[in-house]
Amino acid sequence: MKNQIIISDFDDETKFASITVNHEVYSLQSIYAAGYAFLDKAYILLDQDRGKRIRVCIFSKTGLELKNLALDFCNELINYAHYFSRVESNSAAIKTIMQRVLFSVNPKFAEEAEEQEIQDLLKELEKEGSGKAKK
Amino acid sequence: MLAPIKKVKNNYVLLLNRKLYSREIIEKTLKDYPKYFTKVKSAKKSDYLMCKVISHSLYDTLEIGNYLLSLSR
Repeated sequence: MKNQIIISDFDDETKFASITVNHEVYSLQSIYAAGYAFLDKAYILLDQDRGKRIRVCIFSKTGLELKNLALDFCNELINYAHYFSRVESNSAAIKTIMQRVLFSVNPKFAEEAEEQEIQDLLKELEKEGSGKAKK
Repeated sequence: MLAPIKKVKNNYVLLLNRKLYSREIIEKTLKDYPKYFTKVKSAKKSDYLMCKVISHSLYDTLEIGNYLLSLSR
């Protein structure tokens, strides 16, 4: 297994850390989100290597140690990968909750839905009543 | 290991992979940083767009990289 975190020199004064990320394990969405969370601590540049893996180059903004910064970035990647996988698996439940919220915000929708339900029940009762009368 | 940023004479050039930074995002950055972010060149078969940044400061250039990432999200 190759080293996934490498510290290199950009010039005489500046160093940077590069992390190689497998695109099949972490989505591009997770990489962007983790990078976004690091914008106040680091400068982030993205690149792709010949094996089509994504390389994240991290330059420290605050003088924090590069290796620690890179390891924190890996943790953030896991955090966002987990978040997006949860969102995907809970999407049906989230949709239902949002629909309920919209109904409660606009009572008109709820009233219309209630009225429709009453009409449907009345129709069912009428059908049952006419069925019994025939017998 | 090389970074996707190069020093050319007194300026810096960002090498932006098209698959990671979309054209719309690069165009928006060009509009938002008209002073710094100037020439954009690309080879036909290359995956990269080369963007020359008119600044002597590495950190100005890296700041543009951060702006691109913030738009990509």
